[in-house]
Amino acid sequence: MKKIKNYLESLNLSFKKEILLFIICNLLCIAIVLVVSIISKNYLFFIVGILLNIGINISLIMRYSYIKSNIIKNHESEFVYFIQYLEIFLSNKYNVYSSFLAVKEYMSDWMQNRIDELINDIDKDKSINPYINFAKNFKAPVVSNVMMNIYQMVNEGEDEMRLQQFDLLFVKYFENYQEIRIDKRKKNLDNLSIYPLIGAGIITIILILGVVIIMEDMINVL
Amino acid sequence: MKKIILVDITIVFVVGLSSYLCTDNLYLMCGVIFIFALYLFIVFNRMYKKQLSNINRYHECFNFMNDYIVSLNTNQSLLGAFAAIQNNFSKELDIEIEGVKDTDIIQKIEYLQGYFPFHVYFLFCQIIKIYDKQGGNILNMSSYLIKQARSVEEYIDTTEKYRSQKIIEIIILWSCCLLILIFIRFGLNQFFSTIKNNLIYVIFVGAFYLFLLLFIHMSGLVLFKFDVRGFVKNEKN
Repeated sequence: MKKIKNYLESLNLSFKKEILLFIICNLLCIAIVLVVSIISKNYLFFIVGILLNIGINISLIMRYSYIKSNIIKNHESEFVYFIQYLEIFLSNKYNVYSSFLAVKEYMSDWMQNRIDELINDIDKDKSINPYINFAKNFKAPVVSNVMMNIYQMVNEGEDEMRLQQFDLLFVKYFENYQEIRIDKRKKNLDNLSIYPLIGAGIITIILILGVVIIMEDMINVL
Repeated sequence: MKKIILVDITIVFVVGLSSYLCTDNLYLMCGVIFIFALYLFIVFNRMYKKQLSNINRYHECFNFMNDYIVSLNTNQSLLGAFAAIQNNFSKELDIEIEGVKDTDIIQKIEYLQGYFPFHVYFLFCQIIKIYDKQGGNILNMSSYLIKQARSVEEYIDTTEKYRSQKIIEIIILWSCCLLILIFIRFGLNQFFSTIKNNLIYVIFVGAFYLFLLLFIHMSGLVLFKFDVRGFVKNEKN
């Protein structure tokens, strides 16, 4: 139970709320199936209800992996904004350390904590290690390259050439990120086309239902 | 805003009429009209209005920053540059500025953070403050900022175009669905007259319209999503 609680907390979810959600969904499903079975006096609905219940529970569990991958993607996009804002301050004669402090207020709580850790590590250790440790929070390999570049700027100075090198390294990553972002938005819009098909499926069920009703009446007459 | 009200009335009329045509049930028709009208006029319109306002506000923010930077490059004075671009302000921006017309230029620009609650504008204010203290070439100082703001503009424009195409596609698909439902009455007359009084048939048709309403809500959340980083009521977005 503790493992489940820790896992849910790592996904920024409340353990109590998730348990409540499971209970409500299952109870609702059972209630609907019971009502439909009793009204129609057809206990085949029980079997359909059990399958529906299993389906609902599986989809509730599967959504956690979706939430986890979303969190990872959000972290990647946080890094993109972090570097973009950092560039703005660096190009205005801020040094790397003050740029980190200035950028912090525009970041999410999670990113602010990572930046705080980075700044604390830099205060204790002047080597490249704090920058590498910061990069470990992100999956994309280019993050390490960007952070190493930032370390070089700290060591060798934040001159125009260094900033241009830094920008060149980052610009490809950003263009790729922008493409992914636009594709994701298009995909979300494309998914809306599925719903009319589901609507057509419901209409098919209505037609089949109509045929079943007519056949039932015919059988009753006979 | 008038366009969206017309759209709402059309949707309510179409779903109401189609629900009556496929069930001959006045209660279902009234229920469908009531629920759809309530949802569309209260919830859906608000989502649409908010998104439209956010997009227009961002475009206005980008134009303001761009115009001010160009004007500042020519004028070399913060106040002069502001005065030079004031003719391009929208009515709402003029009203906003009216509240702080007697303050100094930096305070005026910072005051607009409430009107332009985007990260790029907050960063723009920082750059203006740095320029005010240290001077320099404003075009160089703001090049990365404008590049970033422009990339967001491009993102909004690209996704808006695609969104418009999708809306047309969705309307066509749902119209086909509703036509199939109405066809039951006109094309399968005897079939319809046999099943129209069956309660389960009416419930299923009601469920279809409920699903349609759920779809409209979910599509509203997706279509009117505005994902530009900013501060909303002093919280990060």
